[in-house]
Amino acid sequence: MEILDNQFAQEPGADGLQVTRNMKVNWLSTAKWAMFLTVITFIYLGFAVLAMFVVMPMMGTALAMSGQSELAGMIESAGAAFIIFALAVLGVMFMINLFHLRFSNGIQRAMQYDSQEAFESAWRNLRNYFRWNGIITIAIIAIYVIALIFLGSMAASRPDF
Amino acid sequence: MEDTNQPLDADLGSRPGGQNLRFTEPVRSDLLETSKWAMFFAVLIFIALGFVLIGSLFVMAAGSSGAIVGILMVIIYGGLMFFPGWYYYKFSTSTRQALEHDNNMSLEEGFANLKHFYRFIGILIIVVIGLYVLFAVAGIAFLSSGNFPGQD
Repeated sequence: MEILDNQFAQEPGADGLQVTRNMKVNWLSTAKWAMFLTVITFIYLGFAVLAMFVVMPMMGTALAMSGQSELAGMIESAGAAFIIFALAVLGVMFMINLFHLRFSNGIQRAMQYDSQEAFESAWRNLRNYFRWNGIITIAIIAIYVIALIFLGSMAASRPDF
Repeated sequence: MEDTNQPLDADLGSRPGGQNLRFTEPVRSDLLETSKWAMFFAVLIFIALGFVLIGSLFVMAAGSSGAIVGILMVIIYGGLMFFPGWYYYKFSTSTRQALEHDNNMSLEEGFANLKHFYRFIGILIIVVIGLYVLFAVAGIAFLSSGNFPGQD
């Protein structure tokens, strides 16, 4: 088995997988759609950051104006922590999106300049994109499950009215 | 006449570049990990699809127009969720088989399914944004038409 792997490492593509024209056509199409998704995600992130800095103070001001100054005070004091948390989430989304952008750029550069380095970088970035999306998804599912269990145990421990 | 010194497809006009790209070991391991994550996402999508189907059964059972709404739910949500999951699944299985057995046909099929996934999601986003714009325009037109009761 090791001998077979060594042969492949010394002569990549000679006996193994070949890059074909169909693959290149599909890659270019994939890279263009990936760039489109990246742009849409960056626009969405921009709107989210704007909304955070515009909507949160507005909510506090609206509540203060309507006379519920206590609630408004609570919102504003929790607002800083919430904004920091939301910025962290958006930051993570931004970093993950950067991998996607680098994948798209890498494929296009690889096709244009016949660059093996850009080709390898593209697949490395797509792998990172999938990997971090997967990790975040697992974390979110775990948080949901823990929250459900926590809420369930709280509901079970309260006496019914 | 055919020029035997040129590659067979030399006269096909514009074609994608990248004549000398190779599937080196780093690329293979990256593709393998990517295909495993794609399978993970495909499984999640199919689980969510199952929830949608179960939910639509409840909707169909409840209410007089529940059957129609339930069927619509299955068709729209189910259809929109099925295809990305299927494309990810095919990409994952084809790519993994290609990397294990050095099968070029499987690898081509895998990349084709990846492209289909991206194209589906891209078109879906364009349609959703278009619908948002349409509803926003319709809403603004409705509000500014002075459509208040009591006016002629």
